[in-house]
Amino acid sequence: MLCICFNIFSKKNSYFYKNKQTSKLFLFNKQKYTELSDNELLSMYRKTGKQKIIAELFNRYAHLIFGVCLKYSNKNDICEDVVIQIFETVMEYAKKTEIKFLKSWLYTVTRNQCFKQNKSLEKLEYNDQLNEEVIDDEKEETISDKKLKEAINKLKDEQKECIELFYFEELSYNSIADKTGYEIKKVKSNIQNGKRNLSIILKKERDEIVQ
Amino acid sequence: MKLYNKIFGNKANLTEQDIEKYLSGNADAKEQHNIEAKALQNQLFADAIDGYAKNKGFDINKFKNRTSKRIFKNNSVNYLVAIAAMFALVTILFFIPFNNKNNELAEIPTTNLPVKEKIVNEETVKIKLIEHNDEKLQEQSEEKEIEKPKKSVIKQIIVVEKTEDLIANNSRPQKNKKTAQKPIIISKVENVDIQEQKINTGGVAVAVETEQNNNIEQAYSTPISKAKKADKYSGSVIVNAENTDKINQKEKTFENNFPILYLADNSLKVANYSGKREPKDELELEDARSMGTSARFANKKVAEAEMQTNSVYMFEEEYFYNDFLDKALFKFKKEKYSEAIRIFDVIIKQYPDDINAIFYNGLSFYKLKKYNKAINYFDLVINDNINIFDQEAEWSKALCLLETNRSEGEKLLQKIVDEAGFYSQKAMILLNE
Repeated sequence: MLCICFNIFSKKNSYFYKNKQTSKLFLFNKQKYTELSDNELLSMYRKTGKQKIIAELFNRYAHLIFGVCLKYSNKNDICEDVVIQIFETVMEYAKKTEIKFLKSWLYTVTRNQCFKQNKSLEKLEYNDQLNEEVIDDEKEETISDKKLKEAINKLKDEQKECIELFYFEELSYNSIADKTGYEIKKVKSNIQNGKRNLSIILKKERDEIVQ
Repeated sequence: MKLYNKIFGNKANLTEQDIEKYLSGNADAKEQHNIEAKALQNQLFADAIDGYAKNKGFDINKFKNRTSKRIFKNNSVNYLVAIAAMFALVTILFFIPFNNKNNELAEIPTTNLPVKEKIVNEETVKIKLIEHNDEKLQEQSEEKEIEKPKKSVIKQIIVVEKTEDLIANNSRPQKNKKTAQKPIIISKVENVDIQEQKINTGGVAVAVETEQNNNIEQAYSTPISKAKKADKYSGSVIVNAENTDKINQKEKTFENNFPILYLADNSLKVANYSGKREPKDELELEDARSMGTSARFANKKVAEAEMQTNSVYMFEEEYFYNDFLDKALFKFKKEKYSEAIRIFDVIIKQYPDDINAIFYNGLSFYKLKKYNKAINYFDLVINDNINIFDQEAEWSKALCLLETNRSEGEKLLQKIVDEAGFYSQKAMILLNE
């Protein structure tokens, strides 16, 4: 009987060595999954088809998807079903195709699911290039503080003020609202829009350099 | 670069705890800022916080547990649980058959013995031999056939319940199960040849070919030269080199009226029946089902159906007499007396006057302390025409009588002393005691 158990263990271990290139006992998988990034998990899922990987993704994003559902659907009862449907589609879709930006993909999918229930919403289309995550790690190094400050100066005054307070002085929305006298919603939208505009400006500059 | 990382480099995930803390209002200004910065990196995060802000007091953890059970219900297998189940299964499998056996042993009566024996003519055996050998061997065997003395063959038919439990549980077939696994006749061809050599060369008592046993040959040239083991009752024999001369002198007075063989590693004396037995007609068997194949097996399909549904089918086993006896004597030598008795009984059923089986049966019963039965067998030996075992039988009978009827035993011992045979000294010692 001991032999049988030992066989099971050893088989599992060898299996893991091959697929994940890391040498840990399979009993401690949970730790290992949490250390990996989304893209690593997804590529692993494409190879192995293990549900544990999807379970890890569920741990990371289920509550966020649920929050989005809560925001866009009128009925709270539907939200649970929506989350389950979305993870089922993830299981099928991620086996065959590569998802580059999981978070934004999930966002569009959940919004479209909610759209089925709530028809007042517009339908979004998932597009890699319109994403905030597009700016890669490699290109970060080319952008210095000076260039960033020049880019920030090109923003509108409201957005510029809010972003400087938020990122340079590290204040919360509430304290910014107190200081400037804007409403919290306005502060929030200013920062969000300012950030988006910043990335667009930086992208334009980069394209000009390339040309 | 630092500024850029502050604005765009944040890639930390937004957890449930963050959301709960932010919405409950317990967070500091700094923590609020951190969570807000996290939320800014992605629309998913931002909208999620908006959604929860819309429905305050929502239990995220409960929701997560519920949905994860619904999604991963079927496929999440705990390996430890699986291993524990394996252990349980294996242990159960270990214990079940033993329990069953014990139960069935109690239920099944041991009286109906499904073993029948019959004698097969020499010719049938020969035919089988020819079938399995090459052409050259065929020629040889044909030549030999003329010279060959007729050998006796024991054929066993074992009727077996299909479940094989009967075999395992019934006292008699249990032993036959082992014999049934033996290759039947071909493996014994060599033995046959050896026996023939013995017969041709020695005629009588030369049982041994190896150099080591030359002494033994001399010692055994007459039957009584055999020295009994220090354990005086047992049938096993050791030759005392010191005594052999004396024994030879004494034993020359006794003459054999029958050839002798030594079986069971040349340790046990046996009457050599080879060539003496005339093949008999097949015994009439009591049970119709044990008589070869019955009429219902005439049709193949019927037979197969029979095999599947009903349970009775047959093994046939043929043994040469000496091999069969050898097996029994080995059992006797290893002190498995009850098993030995079973085999001797098989022989006695076919050859009621078989001196070997009768004598060793008696010894076995003596060993099992069933003295009256033993005495009956010894009487048969003494009254028989063949005198090979006469001295041994008298001696053992005397020992039996000492246990049951002391006065008669002493009389017999006195008789042995007077005859001045092999056991006279031992008898003297016993009498003096």
